[in-house]
Amino acid sequence: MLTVSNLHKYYGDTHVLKGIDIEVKQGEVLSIVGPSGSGKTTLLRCMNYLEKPSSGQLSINKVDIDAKHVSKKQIHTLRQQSSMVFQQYNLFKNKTALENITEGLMIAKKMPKSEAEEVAESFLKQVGLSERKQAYPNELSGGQQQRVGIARAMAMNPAVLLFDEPTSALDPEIVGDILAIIKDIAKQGMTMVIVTHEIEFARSVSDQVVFMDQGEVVEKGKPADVLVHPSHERTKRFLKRIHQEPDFII
Amino acid sequence: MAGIDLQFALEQVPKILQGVPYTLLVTIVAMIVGLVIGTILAFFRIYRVPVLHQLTVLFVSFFRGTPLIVQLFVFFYGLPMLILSLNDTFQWGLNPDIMSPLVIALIAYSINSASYLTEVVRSAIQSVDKGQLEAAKAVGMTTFQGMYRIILPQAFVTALPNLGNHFIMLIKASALAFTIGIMDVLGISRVIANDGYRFLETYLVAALIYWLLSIIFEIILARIEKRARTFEGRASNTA
Repeated sequence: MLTVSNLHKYYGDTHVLKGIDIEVKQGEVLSIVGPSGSGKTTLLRCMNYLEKPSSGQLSINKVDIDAKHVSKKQIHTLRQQSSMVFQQYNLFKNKTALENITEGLMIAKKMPKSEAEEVAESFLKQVGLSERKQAYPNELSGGQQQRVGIARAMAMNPAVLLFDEPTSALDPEIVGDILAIIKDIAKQGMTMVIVTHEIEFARSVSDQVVFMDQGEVVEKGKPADVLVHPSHERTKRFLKRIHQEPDFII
Repeated sequence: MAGIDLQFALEQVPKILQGVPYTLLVTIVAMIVGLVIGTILAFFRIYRVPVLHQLTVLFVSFFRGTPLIVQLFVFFYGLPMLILSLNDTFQWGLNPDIMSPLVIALIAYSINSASYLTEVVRSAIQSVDKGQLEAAKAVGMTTFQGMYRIILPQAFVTALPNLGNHFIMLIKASALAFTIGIMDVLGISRVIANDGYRFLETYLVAALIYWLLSIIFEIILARIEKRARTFEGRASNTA
């Protein structure tokens, strides 16, 4: 379904992705964890070409791309195979919740307005925001915005859903709600790649976990192997540090 | 030295008002054409299009760095000559008279206006969060669609105060068009003043008309801005 082979990314002289290989099967959930600056978000953004990989091959839903020889049209086709949920939600600020969802359907998918609105309303209902469909992003809380972000991504009916730290910008008490929604979607058999700091969530939702550090895949496998009984020293150190982080209650 | 002849001043009002359509024509055309050209040039700068980017920098620098009245004169004498030389070079049969003073004024003001608006539009587009265009691409839109439907509408709202200032400035700057013979508010006033030797009364009437125009458009622009900002400001009303 989704394959990344020997993917490299340079920013100037800095080598931020050093030959990444990943494979995700139909209906699988892959979580990418790792310390800040490990390149996990960059890797996710390369998957839909929001970042341009320096070299390597990408394949999503039978759309194959070689980063060395790629046309604008190929990029556009590749992007239509996936959709992204952003850390900062990135809802269109000049559009209502409903329009945020219909926009892609009408413009990119050329769906008639009435049909697009029907689709949008059903997805808003699924994330529990039907009654706020006429609200602009500025009128919604962070959690509500992210729910619209998820509905927008799902409405595009992508082959793969990409999540870029979907709960990192949220208040702690909202995080659980959003994770529950994502888990629900996973249960529906959606193929997903999730970059996250929520180790417990990654353990429970994923079929496969990748641990990245300094632009490399250090370890990958079943969540119980990677996150509970890691075999690499770097993974152990990372997990230990995460578990030591105290929850401050003031 | 007589005082102000109020009677005379009042009699001139309807005559001078006949210049308002020309004042507005120059202002509105310069605003719209300037905004269209300015937006295109802003993209040359943002995307650093080779050659066009450098030419835009040069264009902006020249037209912001020289007096408008000098530009008017250069266009006034230069454009008909340009047509003649084009006819010579390409054997075209263009009539140089299509460059009437009004057409020349419209061209000159539009280009001058574009040079200012390039920077206004550029900074407004760059102030829109980068994530907006990324989200547009992520839902399958092309860069052009994302710009047109998501970025530009937001940039327009950011730019509105500057665009409004520019419009008010244009109303007043349009008065310089009398120098190439346009019968706008000031052009007509000059004729009346010279005929009747009533300079002060006539120019006071002209000043009041310009002031009134500015006030009317300030009110209109404030309304447009309030309306355009619904997506940022409604939160406090509905919470």
